[in-house]
Amino acid sequence: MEPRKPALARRSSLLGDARIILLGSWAFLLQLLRSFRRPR
Amino acid sequence: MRTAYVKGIADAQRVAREAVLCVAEGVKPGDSERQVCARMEREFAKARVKHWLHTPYAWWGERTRFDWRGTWETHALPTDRVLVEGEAFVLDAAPIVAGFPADFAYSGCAGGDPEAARQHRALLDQLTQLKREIVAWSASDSGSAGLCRAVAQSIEASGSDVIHTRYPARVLGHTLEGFPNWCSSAPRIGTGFQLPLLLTYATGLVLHHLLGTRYPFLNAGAPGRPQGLYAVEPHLGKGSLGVKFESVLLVDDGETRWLDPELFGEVTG
Repeated sequence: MEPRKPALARRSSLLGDARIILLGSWAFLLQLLRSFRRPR
Repeated sequence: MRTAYVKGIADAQRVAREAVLCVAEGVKPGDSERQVCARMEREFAKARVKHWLHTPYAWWGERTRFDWRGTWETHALPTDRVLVEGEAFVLDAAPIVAGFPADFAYSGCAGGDPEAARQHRALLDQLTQLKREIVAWSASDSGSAGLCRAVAQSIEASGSDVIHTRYPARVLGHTLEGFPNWCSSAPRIGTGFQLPLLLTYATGLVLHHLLGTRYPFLNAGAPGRPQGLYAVEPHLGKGSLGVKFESVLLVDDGETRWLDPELFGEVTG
């Protein structure tokens, strides 16, 4: 008989991913401000 | 269809590698991060790159370790910091070529300090070993989170610091599946992360929770097993040195391999 494969989670943390989207969007805006303020 | 997609990504990765390595050859003490990023952009312009996941980054010296406090996206932007003899440097660019995304990073060391060069070489050897082991870990039953754990444990066991968990979303890697898509031709705005990256991964996260699609990141919280094409970027540090590579890993049923098996080597597809 084959050994059973360990069960893996099917979904990641909803709160964690909401945080990634919110912080990522905020950081993107900050990055835009910064990259336009400094000469390229 | 699948073969054509892998070929599209491999061709894009080839363009990214050639442009980054061409510029890396000429990096010398006295160059600023901004100057070298401008050189990379000129190389990519020759390859007619107009769209990006992220525009080129260059990090010098202690900045290769991301020890800064605060928002990664703003601190990671190129600065007027000048490279000094014996310092480590990292170049990283993610262009979209003919609709296909690439993401390539190179780690080098400015000459002039044999001891620094020796330490840097030792870290590159560690990356080479890690690159070999990641193939086996990706195919194991421990899943995406297990892969991230194994990489972190291996780095820590050698006395180095895990740096890639300091990236946004604490990623070891991110998917390159699903391109071209509705936002991959979005115009460039400023410098750094671009709309195709932000919108593609935000959409990926939403769809993962609504429809159960595959999670777009490889990080400690990633569910399931890796499947498909990923840009994988293990990043480690020791002392003031930080090193990383970024390559494309293909994990398909019965097949797990790098599109470029050697460290900073040719993309064989």
